[in-house]
Amino acid sequence: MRRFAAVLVAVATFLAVNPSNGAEFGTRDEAVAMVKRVQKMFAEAGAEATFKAVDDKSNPLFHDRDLYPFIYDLAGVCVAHGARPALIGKNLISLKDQNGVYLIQEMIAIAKGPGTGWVDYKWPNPITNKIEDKSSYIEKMGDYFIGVGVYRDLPNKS
Amino acid sequence: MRLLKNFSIRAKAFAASLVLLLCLIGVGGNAYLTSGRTATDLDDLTAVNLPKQQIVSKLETDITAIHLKVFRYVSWASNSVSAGLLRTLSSEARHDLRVMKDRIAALKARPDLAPAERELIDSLAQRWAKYSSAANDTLDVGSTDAPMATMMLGGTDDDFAKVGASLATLSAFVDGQTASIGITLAANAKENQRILAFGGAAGVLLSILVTLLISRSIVKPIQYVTKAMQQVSSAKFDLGSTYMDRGDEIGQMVRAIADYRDKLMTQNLRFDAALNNMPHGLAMFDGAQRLVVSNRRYAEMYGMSPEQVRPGTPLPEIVDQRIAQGLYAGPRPEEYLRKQITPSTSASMRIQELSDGRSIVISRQPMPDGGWVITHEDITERRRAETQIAHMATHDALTDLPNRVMLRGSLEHAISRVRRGEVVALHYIDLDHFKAVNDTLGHLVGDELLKAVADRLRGCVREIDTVARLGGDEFAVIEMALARPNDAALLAQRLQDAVKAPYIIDGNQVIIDASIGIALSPDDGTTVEELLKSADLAAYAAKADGRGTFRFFEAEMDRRIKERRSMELDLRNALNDGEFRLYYQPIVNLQTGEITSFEALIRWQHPTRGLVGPDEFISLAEELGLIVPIGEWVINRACADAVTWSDDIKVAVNLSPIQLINKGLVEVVMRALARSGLPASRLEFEITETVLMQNTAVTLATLHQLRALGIHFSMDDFGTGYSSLSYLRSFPFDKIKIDRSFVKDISGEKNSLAIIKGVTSLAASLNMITTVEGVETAEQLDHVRPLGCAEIQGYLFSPPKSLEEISRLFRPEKRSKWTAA
Repeated sequence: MRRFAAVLVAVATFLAVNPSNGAEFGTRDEAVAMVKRVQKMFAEAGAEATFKAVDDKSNPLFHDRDLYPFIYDLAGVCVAHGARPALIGKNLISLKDQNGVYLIQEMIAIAKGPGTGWVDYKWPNPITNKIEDKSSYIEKMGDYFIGVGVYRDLPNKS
Repeated sequence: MRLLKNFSIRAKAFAASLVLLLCLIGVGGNAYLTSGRTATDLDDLTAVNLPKQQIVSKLETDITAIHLKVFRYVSWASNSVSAGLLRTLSSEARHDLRVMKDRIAALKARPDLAPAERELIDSLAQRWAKYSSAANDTLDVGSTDAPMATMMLGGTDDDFAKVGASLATLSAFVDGQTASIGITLAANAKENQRILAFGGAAGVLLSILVTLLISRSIVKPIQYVTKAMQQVSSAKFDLGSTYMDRGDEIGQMVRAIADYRDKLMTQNLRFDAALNNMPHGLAMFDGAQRLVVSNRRYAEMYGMSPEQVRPGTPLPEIVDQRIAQGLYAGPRPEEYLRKQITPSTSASMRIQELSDGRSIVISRQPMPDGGWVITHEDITERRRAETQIAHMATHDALTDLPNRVMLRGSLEHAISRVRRGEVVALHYIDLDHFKAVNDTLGHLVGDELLKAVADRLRGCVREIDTVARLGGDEFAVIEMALARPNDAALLAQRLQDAVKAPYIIDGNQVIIDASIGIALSPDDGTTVEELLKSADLAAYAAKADGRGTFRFFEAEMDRRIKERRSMELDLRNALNDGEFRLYYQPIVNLQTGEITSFEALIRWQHPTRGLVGPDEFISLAEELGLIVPIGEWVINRACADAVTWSDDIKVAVNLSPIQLINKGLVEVVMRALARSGLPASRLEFEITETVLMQNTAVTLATLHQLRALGIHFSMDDFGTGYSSLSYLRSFPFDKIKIDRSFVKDISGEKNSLAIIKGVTSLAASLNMITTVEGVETAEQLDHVRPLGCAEIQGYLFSPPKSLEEISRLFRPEKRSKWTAA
């Protein structure tokens, strides 16, 4: 009953704030907005609830087309992932893309440094399941960092 | 060096061995230690480093294989391979990862790791852990999210590269270790080589040095000792004193040799002395007929100089030498030499008569080496002596006539001729009164006389006859092959005439006569014994017939001899059987007619012959030595009888010369006087001049001792024999008894009267009285009465009578006068 209630709350929330603009891919702004939403929930509901919400693909608040959040601690261990649950619990500090970019390490550097920023790298698209160029917005969140990325949005990048 | 000389050879050898042993231990020990290190290194190499290298290299291979599995999994996941296969591969890879972790841990746990190595493995383990975690994550992700797994491969590969780098470093380190062990091994091998080479060389050098030292102190002395032994064995005895004072075995050996040398020298000297002082000539030849040794006597015997008998001289040379000296008399020289070469094992002996008259006994004793020892003994003298001894055994030394032994041999030979029909005569010649010659003129003259007699006897006989001396003054002649019995008488006469002719010996004229007994064979005997006995008896008969004559053997002689023998036996028992009697004959004073004394006269009351007079047995008793006990009995009896008579009547006892020679006489007389109680002045001894002829100091001393007792002495039988006045002077007699022979034919013979008268006056002047014996008739008494004699004795007054009879004579009228009937 309780789980059912939680799901209801989440759906309700999604419905209330659905920012969908009707396009095929999410934009950089939408990505940033999603980060903010997670930050808000993290701040309001705490880490555990936030991670659960992020992991739940049915939660529209944090899942919008190819947009989804991902949360790592500062050691590189994935604690919540909106698209690839297999990664949860793994330390991915040494993960590098095909161009040799150590993306997690760069994200940690942003979290520890400016607190916010963008990281460009290659990552499989959850919809197409193809590795595509991705730019993710990263924000420090407590002892973690939170990111949401966009695909094919190369011009935004600059 | 001094010490070196005094240590025993054993100690030296021990020291040398010790040095060698130390060298070996040094070199070998070093080599052992080095090789020990090499072994450790080899152990390290084989037991530690090579396995390690292997392990590391295997790790490399396996790690790569694991990494490939991870890649293959992601690739299979991306290409939608079946979930089953993927699961299998995944679990394989995860297993491999785990196993690899264990393997690295095992490697890390090895105890034989160097610290740097341990650090390297530590890092490898850490890197592996990281890789392993990354790989596991990749596999995890791959199972659900192939694209993401592909993403993750890049990081995993980074971690793998780090692991590979770590492993390469470790591998390089292990390789380096192996290389360094190899280098150490090589170095050790080199060092070993060096030690063995140098140590070996040093050992050899040291050994040579020690050997040189030992040889200096042993070999040289041993060479000296060998030389010294050779010297000694070739009889060179001057050794010197080298090495004598050394304290080791060499010193002992040298001293022993010196000792041996001394003993050998002494032995040689003794041997030489023995060899050269032996009476035989001795020579030893070797198998090659060369002289080995000879003694002085050998050279002397054959007149050879020392050069000619030098050792090594060949036998033929010596034989030649002897031939040249004319002293070789053996078989022909060639034959002799050939015989010497012929090997022989038995000793031989022969006698050689040399041309110079010597006889040599040559004994040859072969020796095993083919040589021989030969001794030469000069037996010339010995032979001469033997001949002489044989001659002496059968001949008389004084006259060189055959002796009794040879006479018997000759007689046997003669008797053997008798058996073939010949007649043989044996003349037994006894010189008369030879004893008197010996006594008066001495033995030397006696001996010369015997020689002269022998010569004359020899001159009387033919070649076939034999003259022999039987001993003393007895000779014998064997007359062979008589033609007639009278031939024997003729020869006996010739012999007697020859002996009778006067001799001049040493300035003295000596006259002697011979009594000859003749026995003829076969008539008077056919054995040696019989003949000798018969001739002896005949000679005895000739002597009994007044000497200076010859007699043929007669059967009567034999009978008399037998009788005499039986009397001998009886006489020996007569004294014990109490068969002797004393008869007494009165001696009367011519002036007063009174009996002054009785002469005791012995009679033998023979059981079968009756009464036997002294003429018949006294001389026999003298011969048999019985005269001493008989005489003693007479003295005792006479004394015992006389004591029963009137105090002024003496008893006169005859003494035989033999009694006087006997030492116990004085004692016998004293005991007889003491036992009987007769005063010595009543005892009178009558002795004949024969007693004084055997005028020895003992006899005279005895006479004087008896006279000192107070006993009177009268000279008996005066006028017979020599009647030398010197005898009267030699002993103070109290009385002279003129022999009955003078009275016997007094009526017709003026000479007898004159002699009686002369003796009487001589006696008176010498303070002696005279007794005339043997007066048997009144006419004789009438003739004697005016001659001045003090006493007379004879049958005219009384024959000898027994004690009982004479006792009766003077019992009724004591001291009665005896006048002519």
